[in-house]
Amino acid sequence: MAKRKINIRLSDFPNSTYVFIVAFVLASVIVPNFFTPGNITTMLTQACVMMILSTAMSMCLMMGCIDLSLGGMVSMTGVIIAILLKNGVHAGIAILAGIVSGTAFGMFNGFVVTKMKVPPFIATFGASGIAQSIANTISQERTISWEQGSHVKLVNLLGSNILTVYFGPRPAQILSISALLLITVIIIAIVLVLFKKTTLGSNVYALGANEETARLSGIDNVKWKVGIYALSGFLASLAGMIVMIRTNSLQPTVGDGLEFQAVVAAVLGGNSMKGGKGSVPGAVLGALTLYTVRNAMSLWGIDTSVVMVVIGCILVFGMMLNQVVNSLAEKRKLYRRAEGREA
Amino acid sequence: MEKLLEFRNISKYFPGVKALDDVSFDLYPGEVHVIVGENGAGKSTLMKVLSGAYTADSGQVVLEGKPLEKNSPKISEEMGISMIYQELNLVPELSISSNVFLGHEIKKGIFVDKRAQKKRADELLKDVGIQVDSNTLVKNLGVGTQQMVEIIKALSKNAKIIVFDEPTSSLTESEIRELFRIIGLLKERGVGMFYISHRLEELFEIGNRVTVMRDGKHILTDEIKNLSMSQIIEGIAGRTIENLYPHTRKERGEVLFEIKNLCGEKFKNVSIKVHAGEIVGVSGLVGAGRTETVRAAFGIDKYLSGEVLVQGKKVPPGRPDLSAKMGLCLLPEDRKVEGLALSLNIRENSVISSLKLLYPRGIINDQLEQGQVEAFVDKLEIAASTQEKLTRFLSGGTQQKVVIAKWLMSKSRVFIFDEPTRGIDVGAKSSIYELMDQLVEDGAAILMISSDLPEVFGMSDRIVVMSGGELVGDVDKQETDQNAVLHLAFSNV
Amino acid sequence: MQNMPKKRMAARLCGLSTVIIMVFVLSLFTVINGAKGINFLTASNISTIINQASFLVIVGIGQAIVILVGGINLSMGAVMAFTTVLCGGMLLKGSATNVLVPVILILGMGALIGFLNGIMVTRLNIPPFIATFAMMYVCRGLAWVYLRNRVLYSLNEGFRKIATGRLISIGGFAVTAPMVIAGTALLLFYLILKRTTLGRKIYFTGANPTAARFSGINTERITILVYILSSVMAAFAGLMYVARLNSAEPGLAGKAHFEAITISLIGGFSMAGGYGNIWGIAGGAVVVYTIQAGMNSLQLPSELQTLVNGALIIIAVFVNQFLMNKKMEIENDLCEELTVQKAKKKADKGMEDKG
Repeated sequence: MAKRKINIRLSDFPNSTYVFIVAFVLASVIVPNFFTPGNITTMLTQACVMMILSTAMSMCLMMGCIDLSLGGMVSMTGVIIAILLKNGVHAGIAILAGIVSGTAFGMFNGFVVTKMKVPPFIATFGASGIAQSIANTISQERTISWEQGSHVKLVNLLGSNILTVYFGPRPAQILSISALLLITVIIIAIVLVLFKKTTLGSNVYALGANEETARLSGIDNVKWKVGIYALSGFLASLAGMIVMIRTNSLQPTVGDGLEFQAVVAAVLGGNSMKGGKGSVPGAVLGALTLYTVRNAMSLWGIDTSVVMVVIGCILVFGMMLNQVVNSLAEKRKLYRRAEGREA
Repeated sequence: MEKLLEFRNISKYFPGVKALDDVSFDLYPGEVHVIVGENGAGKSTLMKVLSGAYTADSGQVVLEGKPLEKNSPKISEEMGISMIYQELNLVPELSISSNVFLGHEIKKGIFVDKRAQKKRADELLKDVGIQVDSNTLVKNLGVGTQQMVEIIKALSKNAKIIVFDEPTSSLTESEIRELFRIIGLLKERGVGMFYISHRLEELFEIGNRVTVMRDGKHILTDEIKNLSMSQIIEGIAGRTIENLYPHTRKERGEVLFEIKNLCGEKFKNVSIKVHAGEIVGVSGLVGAGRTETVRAAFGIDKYLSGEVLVQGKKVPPGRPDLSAKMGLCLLPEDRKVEGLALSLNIRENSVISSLKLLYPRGIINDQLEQGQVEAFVDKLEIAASTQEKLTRFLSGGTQQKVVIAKWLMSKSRVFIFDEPTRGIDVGAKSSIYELMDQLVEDGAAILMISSDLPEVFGMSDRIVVMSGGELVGDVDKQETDQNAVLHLAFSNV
Repeated sequence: MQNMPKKRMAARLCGLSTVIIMVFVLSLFTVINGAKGINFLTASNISTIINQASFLVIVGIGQAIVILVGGINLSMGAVMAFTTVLCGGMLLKGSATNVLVPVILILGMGALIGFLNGIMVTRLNIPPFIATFAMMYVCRGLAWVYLRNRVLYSLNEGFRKIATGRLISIGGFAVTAPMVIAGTALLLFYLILKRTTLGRKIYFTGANPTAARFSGINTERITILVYILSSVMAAFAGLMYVARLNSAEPGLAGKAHFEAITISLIGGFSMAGGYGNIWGIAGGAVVVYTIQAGMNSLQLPSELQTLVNGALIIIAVFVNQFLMNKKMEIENDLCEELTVQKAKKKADKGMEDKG
């Protein structure tokens, strides 16, 4: 065996890669107008929020925790930014306020999980109500909109398109990359780099696999858990900002149910609900899969309620597909071990 | 030679219990100092004091002549003390090099220098003679290699003292050889080692000195060459254990249990017969397929072809509930995860397999239940507790007894024991052997998987050997010896 | 022999953490309302609270049993809507069919859906969170598809009695049909869970599914059965909800599964499975509705209620855990002492026999 083969295993790519490819190809083939620059743009822009949230969720899950308050935090931070804008505060400060409040709320989650020792599911489930309720109270349960003016210039800038490529005259042939999409991609890229190239990744895996091991290796469990929850809150506030800018107003219930979709995206992407396993790219691909399906179906003219049914079914099939890929990878691993003859 | 470490009059109290009582002994560089004692003797507590996980209530730990004023897991690590526990502290989804440097990564600013880590990890692996690439994920390694990773982890922190806690209980024979070879290397480099083990035979092979502890007290410390096995056993148990392996059996009856040509993913064509009143021991290296075979026979896993028969009747595959109904039972390797519900008490665990027998109509009767369980608690001498005690708080030996009680209550006839005395001290071991002997005397059939050759030879009537997933030997105990069995165990690897 | 009876009482008290929370919340609101001159603790108020709680209890039981085996059921609200919407036509006032027919159909559909949930969780190895989430989407979607924007209203009078019926009035306290139904359901499930072998198997499966399998329990069967029961209870709750609202619509009970999880948590159930007392559901429901009534009486905005509920979950679980740990400690001590006593008795007896 003198030559070094480059073995690319099936399991090197996150599971959701295959599901996404299948979904995307099917959508492109079956639904007319899906695979057009204009539509792809729309789909990607719609998926921004979920891509960020599933990134946050996947890190929580890998650490052996969960954050069910993501949706509530999106509502809360969105409301805070919007209400400040409405009251004439400069956009930069408003956004900063949103980010700070989101991060602080995330730290609160971390505190409840580590110091009060309440299980993550329960702690963030309760926190979700608190966050949403704060959003409702501040907004008086009404949609918030703001007037144009010099203070919202930043917001308008962020809402505009950075890059526009014309493949033709009609709207469907225009590829426009908005600042929001760019921000999303940059944020996710930064998180990925931090995850792979700093101790963030290994510590998260260690905490999720075995807390005792992590503790004995000198990893400060408390610091890291609070940190990841704070990061979650930070990402949620960015998502809140994106929603607000995209719809140019903010409904206080905008975050309703988002955390559940984030869990689904993350699990579809190979993250285990028990922790220790999974990846961030997997979760992002999971989010893209969900939005591909949703977008394709509504483009095809299918009623929202039918889309719900279809997504439910696809979820089940996606999980089954994951299993198949996993067991194939297991079998190949066994093969390899038998050949390699390890001690 | 200067002492590397000294325990001086260490005492530690917990509410109601004196865990360590004025313990003193020492360690020299390059020495393998074996520590033996029953569960609860204080060995782990003492090591936790050493590692800084616990603080002693009185006494001192003196490292290279200087008393350790403050201690914590981080401090002890910095001072060169490394602990290798039985439950390996590795992260399966990370590579060897990531695991080695977990918590003390080589950094460039905030970024981890993965290249430098890989280089160093590869060096360390080469140093101890292991041929694995340090980018391999730990989950893809065998248990023995994983343990080696723990050792180079310790070496990467320039450990002066390494504590091994039950290192060999899940290793194959060849992995144990590897481990001993590396320990030899460490000896040469002047690393001082504490080695805790229940496998008394290993003492003589690997140890320089031995310390016996009992009930939190230090009983004796001496060079191993000055002591005999029975002296050590006496020190541990505080009494002489004459016949560790009782053998009061008589002739065997008909075939109660038969595995016929069983084929599964990890085993092929396994055929074993067990008669009433007989114990068949199953020897072999870890990975030979023994546990996989019995799991498939009991129904936990599926098998590809073959048959399993109890009293001549076929056992439906893949249905442990039906196997149990037919009188077949399995006492699993990992009793905490597979044998008991730790959050429930002794009573609830004991009756769970005999609910139909106890309550034919399905309605619970507290008094009846308590009475029945009490009878078994007495019979098995689960003396140290009441029924209502949560099994999580019991010692390994007592937990195993509860698992046995569970199947006794269900009136099973065929018992499959998978490593019945792993991690159990000598005193409890002997009472479990007596139980097994009693079972076969009453006509049950026992199939016993064990990696403890003396145990296999002590308890079995017949010995069966598996190697590389196949059955390679089936002999009467009288017609073979430990060497022959070992040979067979290696024959198909 | 340090005061064993006292210790036993302390352990008992710790086990009643939900009751403690309930009493605390009731007292709190009585006092605050009293300060404002409002009499909160009236028979009719309490009766209202318990009546409202009864509806949620039915859903709660369905959720709690699934939590017991270590799972979760996010599809409950959707099942409530779907089953009633599909057969709602037959429940209408002027309908020709006997009201029993839709009732049985609805319960049957609940069982079928529960069966599918169970299969996904056991055979297909899909985590309960995902499986029941998918089922929720499917059921909710189908409910909307079937009924579109229509609403079915004006239901059969006799049928509505299960939600509106009043049996007797003692003082100001009215005993209503829902109370009786909820009470019966609680009693029934209590008996099944704590006094039958099936219940034992359920608890054991939740506590350690691997060991349960090794011990000869057919964990697959038990799990599927629990999911079936859960969705049957969801369907039953659906019947009660539509009876109360006098209409059936696809948007029914949008948050029911969350509320059910809330009261299970307050009621002392552990999300990990294997622990929890079904009566805690009643306690949890009473707490939630006491807070609602109490806050309404003080004229506090409803947004604040969500906040209080959220904070309450965290506090309640914290208190529950704390008391449960204390209970285990005390009981362990008691065991130690009993053991010492036993050993002494044996030694004494040994001495007697010799002497």
